[in-house]
Order: sequence, then structure tokens, then C-alpha cells
Amino acid sequence: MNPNDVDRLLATFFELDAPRQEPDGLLERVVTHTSRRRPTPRWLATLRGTPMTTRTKPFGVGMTRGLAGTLLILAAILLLAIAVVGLGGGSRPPQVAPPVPTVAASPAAPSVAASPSAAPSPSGPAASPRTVAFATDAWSLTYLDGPDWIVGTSSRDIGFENLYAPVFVTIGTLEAAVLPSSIYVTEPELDRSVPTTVDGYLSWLERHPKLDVTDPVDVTVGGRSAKQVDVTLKEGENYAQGSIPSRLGIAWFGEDTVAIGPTNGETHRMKLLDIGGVTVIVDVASMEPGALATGEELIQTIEFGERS
Amino acid sequence: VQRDLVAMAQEGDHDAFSQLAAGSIGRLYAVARLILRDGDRAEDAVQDALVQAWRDIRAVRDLDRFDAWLHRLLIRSCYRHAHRMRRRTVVELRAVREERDLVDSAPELSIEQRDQIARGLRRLPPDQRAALVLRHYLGLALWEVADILEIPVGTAKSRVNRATNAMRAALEADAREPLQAKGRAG
Repeated sequence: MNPNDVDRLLATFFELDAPRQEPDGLLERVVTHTSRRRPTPRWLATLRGTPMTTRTKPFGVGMTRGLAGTLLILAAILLLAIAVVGLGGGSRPPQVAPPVPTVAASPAAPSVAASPSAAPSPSGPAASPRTVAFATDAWSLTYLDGPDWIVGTSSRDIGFENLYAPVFVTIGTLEAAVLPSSIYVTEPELDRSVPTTVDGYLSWLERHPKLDVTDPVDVTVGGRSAKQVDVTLKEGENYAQGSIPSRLGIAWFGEDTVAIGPTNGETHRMKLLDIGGVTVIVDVASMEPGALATGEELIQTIEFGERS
Repeated sequence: VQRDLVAMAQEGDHDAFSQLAAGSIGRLYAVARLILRDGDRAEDAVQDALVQAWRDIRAVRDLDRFDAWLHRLLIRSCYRHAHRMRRRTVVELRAVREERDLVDSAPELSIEQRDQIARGLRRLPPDQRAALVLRHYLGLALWEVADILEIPVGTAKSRVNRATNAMRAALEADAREPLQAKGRAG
């Protein structure tokens, strides 16, 4: 079988296998979601990394566009700084107004730690928040549901992905650590010798050869005491999102769930707490440090309970 | 017309964006479904991509390249959802009648070949599946594939080649299996 045969088979297969139409209701959901807000300013969209510039020739685009974009942003910042300094003594400097975060406050939700966020919070009319319950065999939680989070669950963990900010929240029971030589997107190799207690796992994390881990600090989450650390890749490690292998797995929640772990530039803010003798990890992951606050807003609505 | 709609959407015209979404959502869903091999995940990926498209539509500077930009958002979204595939195990069930209809309408591809290709695709990592879908389903040139995947053209070419070789190996291995089984039995 030569490559042309494979190409032909694939083209035929894709043509036959592709659905002819989108599922009912999908367009309506998109229109409803998008009707709640307006597009963000161009400079912010560009900063987020989704620009599409004019192409004049089809070659050599990938690397140069990213560089050009970075230089453009740096130049804009430099010009802005010059303008502010130059105009500072005399005329009034131009006001560049960033989007004002407008967190939809809820009487049921505790106040959110004041932290400036680079990512805009949704400013459109939000749907009424409602309390949603989730339970595993060992623990349960309630959280305040909002329209901006996509929620996925298994029998062992629950995950939240924000539609508007690049931030993921994953909450699960620590079952095993993932060997430093493994990754989670393929079959992970687990280190069952690592104690799955809060202190035992933190001790393992601190010695991890590929991770930088901050000193644990005492926090509370869901009304319970927890230890919090920030986890990032050590300099020189390379786990790029979107390629395979893409992510260094560090904590495993079970067969039908996910492992978590950092990619390049990503910070995982992990809170570890003991609930009924098992260690629960509350993980907020983002490549934009400011966006971690968006995840915290969700976490602060959580109340934990033990499963009877 | 699409160019005008993109310009209007950039001005905040939500109806214009809705028309753009309506015109592209079927194709986006097909691409996501082929890459993720999962209908639910594909729905989520398309929804995320279109919501992000509305949010960031002012990032489109060349209005004629809206489609390419949208595909880029979709591919990123597919990667995110592919990484979370383990969260749910989906068992696909297909009616026998559907299979028969398929074969009747496509004699060039047998049920066995179709199963072999489906199995082979599932074993590929998402980035290779994406490259194959862009190349062979959308029929894009390599530089267009590279542009959407945000990688150099040479990398796109090698990615497509690697995926094609992996598929060929999978098909050939599957083709050998019945003989080996027969040999062991005998």
C-alpha cells in the first residue's frame, strides 16, 4: 500500500464519516451565549494570541508572525510609555481604558480575593446563578453555577473550563502520582509508592525533577483548611500544548478521569485538602497569571462535604 | 458577502455574526467530529470556538481570511477538548442499517476498511488527526494546513507524512491480523 492509496482511502473515509449537519440546538446555543456580550477591543484580542494578519505569500509564516506580533505589542507599549512621559508635565495624558472587570456578584457567594485580572469577566446580563451539587464516593461539593463555565464530570472528579478566560479548574481525589518520565495524554505510568496524603504528595512534588514548586501556604477552600502551592515547569523543560507529548502528568485521579500537569508557561495553583481521609486536589491552571483569579471566583463558591 | 458580514460583526452587529456562524457551523462540526471522534466533544469544541470567535473577532485584520482564522480557533479548541477526552468514555453505537447504507453508497470503501481506518485514527494523537482532516477532508494546501495549525510548512508536511505512515502501518497490520490468527489456530 503506497501513500497515495492511504490518501485516497482517508479522503473517502472522511467524506463518508463526516456528519452532514450540526446537531440540533448547537447554533442556538452559540447565538445565545454570544448575545450576552460584545466583542472585546482589538488590542485585547491581539494580546490573547488570536490575531490573523494579512498573508502576502504562503511560506515561512509560522515563526515570523509570532515574532512580529510580539514586536508590535512591545512597540506599542514603548510608544505609549513615551507618550505618557512626554505629555506628563504639560497636557493631560491619553487615557487608555482597559475593560473593567465586572464580576457578577451573588449574595450566596463569598467575596472574591481582590486581584487584578488581565482577562475580562463577562459583562453581559448573566443568567441567575444556581447551586449545583456534585458527589463522589468519598466527598461531595456544591458550587455556584454560572453561564461562563463548561462543566465536565466523571465519577471521581469535576472539571470547569471558562468560556471567556483561559483558565481550567479541576477537582478530584488524588489516586496516584504520575512518574516524572511519563505524560498523561498517553498511558500514564503511575508511582503508587508516593503517599497520597497531603503532606506526602507535597513532599514528592517538592522533589520533582521537572517542576518548580512554591512553598506551601495555608489557605481555606470550601470551608476547609488546605495547603496551596504554585507548580510550573522548570526552565529547560518543554511540554508544548497542542503537540504530543504535550503535558507532564503529575496527579492522577483515576481510570475514567484525567491527570493534571503543566505545559509551557502554564501555572497550576493546587490546593490540597483532606476530606474524610482522602486527599482532594483543587487545581486552577492557566497560562495567564491574571486569569487564575477567574478560577478563584468559582472556587470561592464551593462548599465541601463528606459522603456518608 | 462574508467579508461584509465580518466587518459588520466587528462593529458589534450580532446578527451578522449569527449569519457567519450559521454558514460555517456545519463544516466546523464535521471537522471537529472527525478530529475528536466524539460527537459530544465536537459540539463543545465548536461552541467554544464560535464563542471565542465572537469575543475576539476584532483580531481579524484580513477580512478575507475569516474562515482560516475560524479553523485555527476550532483546532485549538479541539486540542483542549482532546486533552480532556479521558473525562468521559463514550461508546459509539451505529445502527447496522446505517452501515449498510454507507456501503451501498460507497462501494469503494468496505466496512472492514472503514473500521480499520477508524481504529487507526483513534490511535493517532490529535495534532496528527487534525493535520489529516485539514489536508484530506477540507482539501487544504500544505501551507494552509501550516497556517491553521500555527506551525512551519516543513513541520506540517512532516506531520502529515507521519500520520499517513502511521495510518498505512495500521491498515497493513490490521490486514495481517486474520492471517496470523489463522496460523496460530492451525
